Amino acid sequence: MEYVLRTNDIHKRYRRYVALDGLTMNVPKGSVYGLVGRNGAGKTTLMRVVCGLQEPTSGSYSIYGIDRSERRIVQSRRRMGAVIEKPAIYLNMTARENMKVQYSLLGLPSDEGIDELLTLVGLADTGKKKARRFSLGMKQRLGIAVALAGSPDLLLLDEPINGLDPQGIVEIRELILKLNRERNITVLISSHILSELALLATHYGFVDKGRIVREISAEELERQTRKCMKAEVSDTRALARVLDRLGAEYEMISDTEAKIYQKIPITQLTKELMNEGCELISVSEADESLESYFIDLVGG
Amino acid sequence: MLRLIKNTLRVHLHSKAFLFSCTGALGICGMYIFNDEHNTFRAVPFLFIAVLTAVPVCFGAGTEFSDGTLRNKLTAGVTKTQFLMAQVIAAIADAVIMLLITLIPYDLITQNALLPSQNTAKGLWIVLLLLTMTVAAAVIFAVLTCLTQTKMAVLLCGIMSVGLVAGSMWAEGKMLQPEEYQGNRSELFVYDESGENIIDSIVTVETIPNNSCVKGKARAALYVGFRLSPFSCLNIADQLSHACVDTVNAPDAARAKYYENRFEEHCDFNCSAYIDLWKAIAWTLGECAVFTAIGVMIFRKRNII
Repeated sequence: MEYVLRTNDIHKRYRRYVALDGLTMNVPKGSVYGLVGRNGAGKTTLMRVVCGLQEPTSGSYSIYGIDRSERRIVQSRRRMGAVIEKPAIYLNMTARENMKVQYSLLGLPSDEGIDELLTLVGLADTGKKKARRFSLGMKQRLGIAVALAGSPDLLLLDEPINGLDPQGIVEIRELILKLNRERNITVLISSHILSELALLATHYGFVDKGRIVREISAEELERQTRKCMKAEVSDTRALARVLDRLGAEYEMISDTEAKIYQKIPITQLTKELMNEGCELISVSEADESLESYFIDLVGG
Repeated sequence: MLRLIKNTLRVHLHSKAFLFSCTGALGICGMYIFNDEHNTFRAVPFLFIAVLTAVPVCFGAGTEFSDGTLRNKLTAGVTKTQFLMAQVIAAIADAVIMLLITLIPYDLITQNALLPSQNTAKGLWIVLLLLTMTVAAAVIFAVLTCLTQTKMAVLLCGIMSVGLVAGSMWAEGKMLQPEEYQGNRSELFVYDESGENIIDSIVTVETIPNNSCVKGKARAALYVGFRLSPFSCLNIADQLSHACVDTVNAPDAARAKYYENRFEEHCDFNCSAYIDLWKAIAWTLGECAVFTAIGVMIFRKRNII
C-alpha cells in the first residue's frame, strides 16, 4: 500500500508539557484519514509539525516518501494544502484577491483555475465582499479553496466543522467527499465530532495523550462495531465448537468472552453448551457506535 | 524568494495601515511647514515619520500572524528565514516610500530649504541620514513584530522609539559637556610712565572644571550607545542642517577647523562624529544587519501557533 504521510515516533514537547509522545501513523494514498481524539490529545500539534510550522523535539516523518530532514521536503510540501485551526485568509481582501495572493505565492503562471475553485467551494458569487464579512462557513470554505490552490494531492484539515451550523457542516462534508472521490485527494481530517467523521473517513487513527492508540480502516471498524451478542462462558473452546457446529460467525475477544455476529436463540445456545459441559455465565446485546468504540479504547 | 517579496509588498502597500501612515506623515510635515515662517529645514518632523513607520510595518507583519496566512507560506515551502527577510524588505520599502512622499513636498513647499542649489551636497547628506534612520527603525520594528508574532508590537516599538530618542539626545547632551567653564575674567592694564596711556594688558581667565563632563570609558560607552540608536542619525542631520553653507564642501582640514571652533567650548566631544558622516550611516546599517541576523536565529527556533 502506498502511503502519502508517515510519521515515526514523533515527540513534541513545549517546556514541561508533552504534546506528542511517540506518535506513529500512516496515511494511505487516496484515503480520508480521520484523526480522532479528545481535546488536547495532540491532533493539532501533529498537523502543525507535519506542515512545518513547528519542529518536532524528536522523531521523523515523511511526505510522499521524502523525509523531513531532506531539502526536497520543500517540494513535497508544495503538494500539500492545509487548514489548521482557523482558515488562513486575509480578512481585508475579497475571496478572489485571497486566491490571487496564494497563486502568486505558489508561482502559478496565471489566474486560471481560481474561478473553478471558488465555484467548487461555493464562493463564486461573493464579488467585492471582503473576507472579514463572510460567515464562518464561508471563511472555512475560502480557507479550503486557498489550500487547494496549486492542486495539492494531500489536504490537512484540522477540525474544519467546528463552529459551523448544520447547513455548513453538510456543505463541508460534501466538499471533502467530492475532493476525495473526484480529484483523488488524500485528506487528513481531525475532529472530535465522531458522527461526522463516521460519514467521511475511510481510515481512522485514534489519538490519546500524544500517541496513536489504534489505526484501523473503516471496514474493519464497521466489522468491530456491528451489532452482536456478547457471551461470557466458562470454556471458550467449548463455545467455539458449538458455534462452529451452528455455522455462526464469531470472534473471541478474551479467555472468557466472545462476540457472536448472528442471532442465536439463547435456549438453543445454553442447551448446546450444557452438552459440551460449558457454563453460560452471561449474555448481552452489544451495538457499538464509533463513540463507544473510542471511549472503550481511551477510557471514558 | 522574489515571489514572496512581491507578495509581501502587495500586502503591505495595499493595507489601510500604510494609507493611514502616509496620510499621517504628510500631515505632520504640513504642520511644521505651515507653522514655520522662515522656511528653514527642520529634522524633527522626520523623527515622527520614522516612528510612524511602525504602524504599516507592525500591522503588515502582524497580520500574517493574526490572520494565520503565515501558515500558508510555511506550508507552501517558504522558510522562516525567508519570511522574516521578506518582511524586512517590505518594511524598508514602507520606510522609503513614506520618507520620499514627505521629503519631496517638504522641499518644494519650503523652496528648497532641504536641497538649496548653493549646497546640494549638504542636503543630500541630510536626506541620506534621514533615510538611514527611517530604514533602520523600520527594520527593527519588522524584526520585533516577527519575534512577538503580534500586531500589538506597534506599542512596544513606540515605547522603544521614545526610549531610543530620549537616550540618544541624553547621550549627545552628555558628550557635549565641556571639560571646563570660563570663570571670572580679570584684566590687568600696564600704563606708560605718564600713567595715561595703556601700553599693555594682561588678561586672566579663571577656569572652573566641569564635574558633569564625562570622560574615559564612560564616554566611550556613551559614544557607542549614541551610535547604536538609529535616531542618532537625526541628531547628526539636525546639526548638519545648522552648519554653515561652506562647511560641508570645504576640505577636511577646514571642516575640522570649523568644527573645532564650533566645539571649542566642548572640546571633549568627538567631533569626528560630525565629520565622517559615512561612519554614522555605516554604524546604523551595521547595527540593523546584526539585529536582523539575531532576529533570524531566534525566529527560526520559534514555534508558530
